[in-house]
Amino acid sequence: MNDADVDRTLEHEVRAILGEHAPSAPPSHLLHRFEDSARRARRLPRWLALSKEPTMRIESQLAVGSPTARGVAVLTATLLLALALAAIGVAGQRLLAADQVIVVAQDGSGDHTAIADAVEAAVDGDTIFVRPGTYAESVVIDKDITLAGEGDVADIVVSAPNDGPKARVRKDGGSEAGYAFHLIDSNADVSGLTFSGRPSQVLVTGGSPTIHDLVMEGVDQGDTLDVGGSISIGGGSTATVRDNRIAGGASIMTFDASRPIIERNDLRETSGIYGYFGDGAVVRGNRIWRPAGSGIRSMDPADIEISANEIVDPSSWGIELAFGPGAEGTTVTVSDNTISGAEIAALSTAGLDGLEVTGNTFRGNGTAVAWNADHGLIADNIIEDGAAGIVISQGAPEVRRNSIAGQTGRGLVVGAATSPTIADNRSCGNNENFFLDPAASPRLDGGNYFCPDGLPT
Amino acid sequence: MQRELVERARSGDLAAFSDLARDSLTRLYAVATLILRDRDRAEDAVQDALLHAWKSVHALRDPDAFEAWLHRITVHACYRSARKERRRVAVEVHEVPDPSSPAHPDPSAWMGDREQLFEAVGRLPIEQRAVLVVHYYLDYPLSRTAAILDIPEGTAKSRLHLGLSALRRVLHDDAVAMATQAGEGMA
Repeated sequence: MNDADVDRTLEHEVRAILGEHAPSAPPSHLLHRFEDSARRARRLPRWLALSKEPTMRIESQLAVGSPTARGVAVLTATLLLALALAAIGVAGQRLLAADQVIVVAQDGSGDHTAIADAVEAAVDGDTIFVRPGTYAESVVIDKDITLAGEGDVADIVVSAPNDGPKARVRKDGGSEAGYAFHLIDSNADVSGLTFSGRPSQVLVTGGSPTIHDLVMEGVDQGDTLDVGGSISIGGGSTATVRDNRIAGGASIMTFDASRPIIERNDLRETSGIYGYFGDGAVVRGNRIWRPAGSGIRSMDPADIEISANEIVDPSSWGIELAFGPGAEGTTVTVSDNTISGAEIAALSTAGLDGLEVTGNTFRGNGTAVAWNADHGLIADNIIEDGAAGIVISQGAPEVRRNSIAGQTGRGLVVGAATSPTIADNRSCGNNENFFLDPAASPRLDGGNYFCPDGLPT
Repeated sequence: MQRELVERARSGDLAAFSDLARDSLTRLYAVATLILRDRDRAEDAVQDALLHAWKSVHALRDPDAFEAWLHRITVHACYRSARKERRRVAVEVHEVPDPSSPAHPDPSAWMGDREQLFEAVGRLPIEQRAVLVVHYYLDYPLSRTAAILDIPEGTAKSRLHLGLSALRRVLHDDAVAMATQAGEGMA
């Protein structure tokens, strides 16, 4: 047998054995099984079927699929893949670059000698440490970074140049002013620095940064309210401003219905905390010593919490709430504050709708509570040694469980055209413990104790 | 008739597709069984193939190519099934022709022992086995076999040659072993 014979024989045998071993019939259920599945299956649209199915040519004729559709699909998939890889690359690069530490040192021992250069080099997530020195800079921060002083805060001073750039503090008006830091839509964490000199305010526009443990010395924008304070918060920001020490000059100011949390700051001989707050703003636990004007002042209607602050010797009001039109539906909470030595009043209100004044201690003020709100609560306050206690000039508040003593004038005054509910109060040791205007219509719910008029001798 | 059924199937007529599938089912199942050597897996492969074909019947441009296309889908379903069973396949496959061995042993040693030959086919790599099944069982010419397997015609020829050579080699070794055993027995 030659080669060809062997091959022919082998082929013949293969053909035969395949035929012999091929099953004569498929299982009877196979077609039914397919039909059940097919009824539940979704058929591909023509374009997708054409692009997914590999082409098949029979006698050079295209029998199945579409090279064009397949080419377009492959090209599209390639482009999408390239885009995805590029996105992953960019993200990866940023991830790799993130969280680095950058050191600023004026003596050249760090990565940069200027804060602005370090901020420029940083990406979100980075930390910048600033070593001692005096940095005459105006820095824009528009990244989510941490920027902290490294060393004694008194030795790390940022002082904006007088001829530095300026920015507008209010969105809709006001003049431009200088700044040391301008945080724009940033969630940065800034701490451990001293800001010194008139134009060196920290200006926040939008974002939700945390500004803490700073020292501000003599940062003053002058007498014009619209150009900012030591720390100015605008653009609807939800900044947290805490544990800062501000001495002299301007205050912490808020614009554009921003909703900051301002807490545990120590302000000495500044113009206090004031501005145009938005709903949800919190002013809590601050110590405000001898502010020029008011300790805390809010000038736009908004739901604000003012609590646990200590305000000492304000030259006019401790807390001044002077709302314009649009106060309907708002409620301000004034609770657990201690206010003493206010020249005019510890709490002065005008144009409010809802107000709750609870748990405060007012001592040695002109008037403790000058109430001008439509409704609310004055409860559990301790009022001592001032000129007047609670003076209700508007609305129908509930006046409950207050203790008023030692006023050189009147303890509780119910003015004309008011209709408060008065219960469980004690007013004793005042020159006049209870004054009721004949035109008032109070509801006395009982439990009140008004001593005979006259200061104790 | 088949053209009309294909056209109806392309327009979403499942009954028409089922008629087409019924006509082809015996051969599809046979192809899958011969390639996979396992009736359960063959059944699954045919099921997969039919479902794929039903979902993608839009892709068929020439209704006359329906059956060849169905065969191609079935072979590829077998490949997928084999990949799933990679470990088993790995021990199934495995004779590579040895160029130094005799190219054409004495055919008289194995002619007539078809079980032995069938076992040898089963030990071929699945790609070579598929070429044998499509070419010899379905009786397609090599050009169409290549089209069905989605490979160049040269590759189809090469796999066919390798497959047949491997069969010759395996069968030769078996024949030698049998002769040796017979000789020892006589001694």
